[in-house]
Amino acid sequence: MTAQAPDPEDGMIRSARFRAARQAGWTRLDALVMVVERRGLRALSFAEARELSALYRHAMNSLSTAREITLDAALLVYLEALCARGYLAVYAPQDTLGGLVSRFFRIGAPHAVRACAGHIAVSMGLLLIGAIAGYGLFMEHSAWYDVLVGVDARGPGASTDTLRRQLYDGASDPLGELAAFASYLFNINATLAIFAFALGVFACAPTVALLVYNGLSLGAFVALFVDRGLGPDIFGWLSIHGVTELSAICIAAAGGLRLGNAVLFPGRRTRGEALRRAGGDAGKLAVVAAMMLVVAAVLEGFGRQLVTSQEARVAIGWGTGALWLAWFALAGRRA
Amino acid sequence: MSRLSQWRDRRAANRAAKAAQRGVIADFLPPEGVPIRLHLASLGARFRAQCADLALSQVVPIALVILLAVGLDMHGDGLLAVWALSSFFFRTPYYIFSEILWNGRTIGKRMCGIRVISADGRSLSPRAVVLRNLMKEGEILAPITWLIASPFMGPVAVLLTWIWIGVVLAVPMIDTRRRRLGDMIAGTIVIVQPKAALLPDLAVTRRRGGPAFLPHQLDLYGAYELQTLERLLQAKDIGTQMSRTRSLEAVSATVRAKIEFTDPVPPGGHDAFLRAFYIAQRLHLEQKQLMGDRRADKRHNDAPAP
Repeated sequence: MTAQAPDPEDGMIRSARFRAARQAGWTRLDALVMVVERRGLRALSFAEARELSALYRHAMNSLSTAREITLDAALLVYLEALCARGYLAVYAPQDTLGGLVSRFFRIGAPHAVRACAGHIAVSMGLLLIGAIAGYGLFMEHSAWYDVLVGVDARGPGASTDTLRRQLYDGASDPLGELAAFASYLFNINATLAIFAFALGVFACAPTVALLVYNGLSLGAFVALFVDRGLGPDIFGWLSIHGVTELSAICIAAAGGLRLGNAVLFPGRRTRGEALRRAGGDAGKLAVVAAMMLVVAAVLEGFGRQLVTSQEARVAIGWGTGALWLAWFALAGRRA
Repeated sequence: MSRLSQWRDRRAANRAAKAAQRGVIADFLPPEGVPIRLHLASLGARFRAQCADLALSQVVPIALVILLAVGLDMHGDGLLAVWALSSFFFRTPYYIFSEILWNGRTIGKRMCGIRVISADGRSLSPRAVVLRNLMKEGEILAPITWLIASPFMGPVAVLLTWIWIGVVLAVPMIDTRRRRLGDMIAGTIVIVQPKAALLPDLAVTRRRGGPAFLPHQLDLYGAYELQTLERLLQAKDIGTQMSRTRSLEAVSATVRAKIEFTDPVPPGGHDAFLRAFYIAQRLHLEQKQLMGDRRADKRHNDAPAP
């Protein structure tokens, strides 16, 4: 018998009949997927959406069968691509943007902050240790200021009056200078927070170093003012935005520590898997920190220059801090 | 397990390894349990997409700066501040919202035909999108800012910037799935948007009274040769008509010599002969495959007998 013996039905070989019988369904799926790719899943009617999922599963079935029974490369390549596109259309995320954002604020963010409370405490501790050390070093010898904060005109060389004016004076050209100053500081702190977060992957060490180093310069900075008898004034000056800003840095750093922790102690998971699991909370912390930095920049740019009364500064600063704390501690708890 | 199947498994493993080197994911497993093969996006395409997206996300900040400069007569540091703040507000949110809204495709990625998918076979979660784009801020956007600012930075900072850029660029080059750090943490990969048109089935047209082949003539080739022949026959618009005719003639001569096919083939009948041979060969191989005898290529006869 020759291998070309005609088949009983229409002279076509089995795999060609397999294809001919199903091709209409694939073409229909192709058209539906095309609509979804162009205009999204919402462009489909209910019946079409139901058709899409049924046709997608049929196509998957066909692919699985085709791999066994046919050597038609054109068909295999096409089905492979069609199934991949179908998968991407059917398993597209269904959330709306508004729902995602509100869920983040109501549940996601406060949950993540509570879950990472330990890491945040550690970051704050590190910053505090750095600050105490910086304060102590400055009190021992004021030359430390140049090492820790950097050489600038506002340093130990400046008169007490200059320093006081720096704390209370508004800017001469409010729009330009305020914006410049705010965004300058905002960028420095945003970069710092991003670093503290992103560098955490490298086994926590860079994050810890950054925290302690910034604590040192903060401590020396505060010490300079305390040394000149401006202690309460610097407290007010720092309070109005520093409460929010320093907390934001600590929260971002806590995200970094969470990632580093996963790399160092993955437990029974692989490091990659542990990193992915930690990534959820860490990412939320980073977003929270970014928002807090924005608020801090606003407080800094406007509040600090416009509000010069000591009591108001302290009240605004710590009031904002209390609001943050209330959000983190109370939101998203089931009664 | 027989030695033959061991040998086959080994060869399949080798092939999979080679495919992985060429940037193909062999085992992407959707919930339906049928593995799909996807192609990873090349680093070049990702770079182009990145440049396009960067340019797009700068549209609003730059427009704002121009508006303020012309309308409010702002200048100097104030403008720089507005630019820095507004790019911070538009950059990362642009990436995050476009990838969530369009299921892993920013506008730049659309233009380059690539997209982000979740590596574990589930749908791309907003969480993963947020994570990979937050890491992008540190991985790509911050170094660019520092490069622009490098004239005002100390030598140590510039050196650190370059080291950082080196590390960030090296990671996707070394990784077998071309993931950057953000992809690793988010569990995502970037792939080529799958696209394929269905070519006509060569086995549909069937000419009665064409050349006939004997089973021993069809035992020589395997799937690889069959599919190479298919590509040759499908290729209609490659080369001139002359070169197509000539290559068909050459292939037909080789095939006839190999299978010892002695009937004469008319000068214009090489296409018809090869089509007939293709159908007969495919039917033969598919029948063998149904019975568990998969023949990958013409060397299947060299395999040690089971």
